[in-house]
Amino acid sequence: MRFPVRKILSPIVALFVLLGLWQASSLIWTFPAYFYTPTEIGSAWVASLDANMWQATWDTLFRAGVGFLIGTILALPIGAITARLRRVENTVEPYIGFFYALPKISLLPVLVVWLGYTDTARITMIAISVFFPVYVYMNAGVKGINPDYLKVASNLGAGRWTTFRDVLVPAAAPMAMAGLRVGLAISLIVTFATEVVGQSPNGLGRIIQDGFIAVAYSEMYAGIIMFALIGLAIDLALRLLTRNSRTLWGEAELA
Amino acid sequence: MSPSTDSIHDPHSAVGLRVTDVTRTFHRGGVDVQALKPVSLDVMKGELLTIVGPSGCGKSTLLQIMGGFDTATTGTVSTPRGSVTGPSRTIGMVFQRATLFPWWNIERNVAWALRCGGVNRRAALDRARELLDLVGLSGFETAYPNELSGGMQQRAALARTLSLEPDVLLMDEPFGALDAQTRELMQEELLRIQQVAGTTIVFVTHDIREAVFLGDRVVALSGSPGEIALELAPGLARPHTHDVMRSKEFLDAYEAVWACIQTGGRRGPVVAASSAAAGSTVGTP
Repeated sequence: MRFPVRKILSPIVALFVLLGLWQASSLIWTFPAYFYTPTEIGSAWVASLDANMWQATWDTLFRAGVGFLIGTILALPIGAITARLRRVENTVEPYIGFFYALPKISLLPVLVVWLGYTDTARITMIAISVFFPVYVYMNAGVKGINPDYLKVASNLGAGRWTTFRDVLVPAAAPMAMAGLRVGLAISLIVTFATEVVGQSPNGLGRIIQDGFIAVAYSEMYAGIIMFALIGLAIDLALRLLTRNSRTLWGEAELA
Repeated sequence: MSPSTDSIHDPHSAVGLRVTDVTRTFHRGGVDVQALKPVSLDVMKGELLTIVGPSGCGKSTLLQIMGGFDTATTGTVSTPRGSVTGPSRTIGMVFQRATLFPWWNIERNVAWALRCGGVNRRAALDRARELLDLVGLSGFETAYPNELSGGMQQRAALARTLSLEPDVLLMDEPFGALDAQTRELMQEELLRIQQVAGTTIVFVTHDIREAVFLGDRVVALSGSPGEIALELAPGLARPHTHDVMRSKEFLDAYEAVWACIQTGGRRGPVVAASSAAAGSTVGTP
């Protein structure tokens, strides 16, 4: 596969133009000390790359990853089942609706009361937050399956399991993948919140918060950059995965 | 041909599918809407029966019931194998849209149908290629549905349904979404394939020309709720191509169906433009 130079080039050019303007403006005006220029942030980030920073990155990744996995593993099957079984959906829908709109982070104090300032509490918080958007996407994805696909499957005599594996799963996959992307973003957001509000002794959230409190802004900015890079890397990986597995067959619908 | 008295359960019966007093009533918003008045008809083995009628006459509903995809409110559908209670591999359906699975190439789409019937992987792929060749798609076996034109997709869907070797093949306006030229090609193609495969076909369309061109027998449904308003055998010499559309037999049959649908549908004058568009001499009913 040829490297898509043009596609990558324009956002990079835009980035440099923007950063250049920002940098240049610091030559014209004098900014207060807390207002960093791009080079200052960049060098702060590079300077921060010690064992401590890598450990914090790993701690944050671990929490976000485990929380994301648990939330997703629960949300995908439950979303699919409720989409197919009217009675189950009628039973759980009011509760889903109640929690869906609730700012999930408001449950963190409850979890801390129950579980203490532990990673269990934090990861539970992340899993709950990831569950709802993934559930909603999966549910909509399975409900939105072209009913003719199921008619075809029954006409061809496909059994329940075959229909599930070969028709329902691939047909719902594009929506499920969209749900996973949303869930991933949320897992990072909530991980930060649990690290700050949940009194985490480590992690990027801790570094950012400590930098803020200690007026060590270079630490704060370095932590933010690291967070953004994690998000970017995961999102890119997910999009590459989607492209290679031909999951984006949605456009084939137009017959 | 109205249902005869001979038993359909006799395996030597000439009847491939029998519809007996089928009605269908839908419940919408607490109101009962009747879609079909009692309909009875026999589809003979090896016959290509076309059902034609305006939108909303219940022709699609009737076809869905024949295939077991919908349940008749009253009445029965049966084949020599027994009564139809749900979808099965013995009655194949081709839908208006090709509904191929976009995550597989067309070869795998057809092979999947065979695999569902218990054919092993190797044999299923071989047979899928044969069938794609039969419908004129050799060379496109590994193409994905979204890489093919509407007509080619519909051919692939037809190959998939033919792979069932169904006793009866039901087709629900399968060429309705195609452009005029492609549609004519597909119609001739269908006749060729039916000659080769000898399948019993029930073909639903709202296009009278298509119904008369394809049908060994044409059944016109009219009104809402629908009922059989006319049944005729155009008696076109076979095999034939679209040249037959200039023949007297074709025009007579066309005119008879058109007149019947005009009087049987919403009563009142039919817009002159539609008869002009049909490009035919249509007598005033």
